[in-house]
Amino acid sequence: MTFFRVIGFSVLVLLVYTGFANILPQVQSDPPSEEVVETSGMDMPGMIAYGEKLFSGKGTCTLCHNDLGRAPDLLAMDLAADFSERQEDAGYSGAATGKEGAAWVEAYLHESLVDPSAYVVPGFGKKGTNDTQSPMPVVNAPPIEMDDVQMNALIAFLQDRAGFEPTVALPSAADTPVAPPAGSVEAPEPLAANGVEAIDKFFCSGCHDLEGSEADLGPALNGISARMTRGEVMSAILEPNAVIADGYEADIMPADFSAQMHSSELILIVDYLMGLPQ
Amino acid sequence: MIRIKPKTALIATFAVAVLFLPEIALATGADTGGVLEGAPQPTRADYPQIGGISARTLAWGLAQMHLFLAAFVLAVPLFSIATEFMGVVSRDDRYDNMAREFMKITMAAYSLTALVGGGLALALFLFYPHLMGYMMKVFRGQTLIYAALFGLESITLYVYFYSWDALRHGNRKWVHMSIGLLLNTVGLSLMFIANAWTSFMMSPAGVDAAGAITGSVWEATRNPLWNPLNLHRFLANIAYGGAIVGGYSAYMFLAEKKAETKAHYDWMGYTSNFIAILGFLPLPFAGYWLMAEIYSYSQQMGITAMGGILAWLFIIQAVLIGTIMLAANYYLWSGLMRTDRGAQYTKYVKYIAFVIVCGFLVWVTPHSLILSAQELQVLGGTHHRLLGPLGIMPAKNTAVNLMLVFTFLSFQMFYRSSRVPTVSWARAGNTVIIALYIVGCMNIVGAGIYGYITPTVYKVGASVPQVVSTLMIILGSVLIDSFMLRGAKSEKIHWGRMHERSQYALFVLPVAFTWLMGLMGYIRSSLRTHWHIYTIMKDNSPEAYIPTIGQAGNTITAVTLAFMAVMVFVFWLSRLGATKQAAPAGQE
Amino acid sequence: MVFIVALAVWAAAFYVMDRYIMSAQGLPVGADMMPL
Repeated sequence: MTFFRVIGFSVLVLLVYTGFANILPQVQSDPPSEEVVETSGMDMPGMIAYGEKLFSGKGTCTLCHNDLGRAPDLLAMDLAADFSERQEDAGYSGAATGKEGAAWVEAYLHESLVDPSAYVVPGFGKKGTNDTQSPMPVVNAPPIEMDDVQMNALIAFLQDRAGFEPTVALPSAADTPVAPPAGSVEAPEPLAANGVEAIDKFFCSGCHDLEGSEADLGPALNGISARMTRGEVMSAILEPNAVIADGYEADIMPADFSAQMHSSELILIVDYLMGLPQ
Repeated sequence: MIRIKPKTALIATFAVAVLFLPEIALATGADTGGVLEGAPQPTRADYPQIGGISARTLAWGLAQMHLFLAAFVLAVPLFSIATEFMGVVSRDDRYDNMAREFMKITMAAYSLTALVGGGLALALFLFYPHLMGYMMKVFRGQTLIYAALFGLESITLYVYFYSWDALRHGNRKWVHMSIGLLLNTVGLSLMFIANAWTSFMMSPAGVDAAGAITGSVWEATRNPLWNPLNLHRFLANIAYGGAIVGGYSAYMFLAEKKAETKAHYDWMGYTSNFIAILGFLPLPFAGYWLMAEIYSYSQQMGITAMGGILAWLFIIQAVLIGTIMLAANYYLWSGLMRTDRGAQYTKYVKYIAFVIVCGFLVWVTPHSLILSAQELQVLGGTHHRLLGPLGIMPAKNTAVNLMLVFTFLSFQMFYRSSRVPTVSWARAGNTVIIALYIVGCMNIVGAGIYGYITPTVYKVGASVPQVVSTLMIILGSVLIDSFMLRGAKSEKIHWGRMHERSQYALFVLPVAFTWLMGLMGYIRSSLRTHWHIYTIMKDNSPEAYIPTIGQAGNTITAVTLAFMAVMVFVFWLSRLGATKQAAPAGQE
Repeated sequence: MVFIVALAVWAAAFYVMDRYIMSAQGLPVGADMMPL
């Protein structure tokens, strides 16, 4: 009897919680639809309207840029006054320096989107960083992932709100508005400057015994200049599965160096390898 | 010649093991010869569809069940060894017997945890092969260590339990406790590893923006949200384990008829409730740290949680925590009737109840709501004019700190009711404690008000003095009491002298805790929105959406009911193990 | 009497703690120091 009373009581408590959860406003959050907006041929008013849509949509700007104090309330404040104040601020030394008027605004806004920590409005920095680091995410990187056309639309929208004539470039047919390909990296990696750097960058020592790594997934490369010509070494790097060395397996060495390597880096590596001792 | 006592040597050995085992387990695979490609990006069609099975619901249900059981199985050995230690220190056999009883309850639960965990792994590999393949690449050797640790956990668990009587006294007792310590270390390591995978999915580290591995396993493990999650789960496990054992004790108290056994279970229920509150008190702060780290890692993620679509969930959380606090306090107030002196404290109960209920109401009040256009019109904006301000952090922190202070007060009252101070300065001592409470509470409220009249950045900062005030009140009272109650006349505590309805408070605790855990899991998973691994691997599965609170509530309730059934089975098994059928009359 | 003294001592202790914590976070103590 006790058993049923206890179970009954527990189930009752559970039902109260379940009921409460069900009477609250129900919101289902769907993943953002990759809405392909045809932007080629869009005119400036179209860009401004698109920018406004993005501001509260894909850009998720209103999440922070509102009256709760996390970020400047862009929709409520006097943008024109704020921008001219920012321009005069001796503390500002970002990308917009030296420009005037609407061009200044465009450069400043673009910088705010791709490098928010370049200039942090006093009082809005991450706690403890003394306003040197901004909590704002980089807009053209995940998770927001805006492309150039969308960023221009946002800038046009804000320029318009500030009373300026938008100066952004209108999208051409070449600017197809698709999400950036998966696996895109924010900033291009710097080119290797010498052979050792190139070896490091492409991780050759991970499989070949180079720079003392003693790895043996791939053939030892000491004395390669005696066995292969420059051309053969180059082919071996760019098309590794064409000729497999005795005792080693196919499909282990990455086959996409031709896409990843800059030709200058390829030459550096070949020079380095040809220079290895016997 | 220096003689090292075996006890010392053993403790030293196991301390070394304790210190280094997690390091070894977590830092494996320090090689950086990882795969250079990025995370896979499967399209919707790449996700396996099997029959009409909802992959997400299956994985969710199994994961949640696994977590419920695992939390229980990790927590109980923790306070088992603590209780065992109490038994050694106080030389009171009751503690040792209770510790053993704690362990007995968990034995069956352990294999069920592993079973459900296996089911979870199967479901994940079956339905999310790309994600799991990638996770295996990132965490490589660590997954094998995880598997090996399970073996070690089994060994230590069974040895710890079955050797109880064989290693009962003297030095052998220390050996036994060392085994218990090892058991707990292994258990914690298991949790820390699993936490690394979970937190990696939220705040990836050791990989670049495309998901290509750039660092060691240790770097991926030690991502920004790992330690906050570790602390939060560690404390929550303790509170949770205490609550479940409390439920068990309450049930046994109601079911048993003999006064002696009832007294035993009443005492066990009190101890479990004490452990649950002990684990529960620091939880808001651990949770706060977790939230702060989420904000620090990605402000977007943080705002999604608290100001965006998930905001209502924290209101439900407030309701659950409110019921937990009220239930725990109600149990403590009921406990006052165990002593004859307790009656004199009952007149304060209504004030404490008032503070707790008010605190709860403040906590429940939301700030930014998702409103329909009609509701917006009626309300005249997104926030209520009067109640809106109660929705933001300063009010919430003030409320929770006051609730914690007054819960501690309930506990202190019960504690005092069985002890009459005999020191000469008792009156002055009491005055000092009262003054401490008054000033402390005023400071908490003051810091809260300060948070209102200053910009956002200061609000967050103002919450730290509030926490410290609560801690100062608690520690100060405990310290003064420890001196004041030296040589105190102890009143007899009539264990077992409790109203039946007080035990129902002990049922509310595990039910509410379980549901709360389910809710928090829903929040944690939803924070990633449409990402498997935040910013690195998109979730393109058919069920990538965040379900509504109602749907989530239904799923959580279903899993909670299943868990309750499992626990009933586990407890029944432990009773069955102690039952002996009498031989029929006339049998040789 | 004990009560008044206790109140004063505790108030001092809490105030010192407040100041220390707030300044360790780089934040002001005192409403008059808040920016607009």
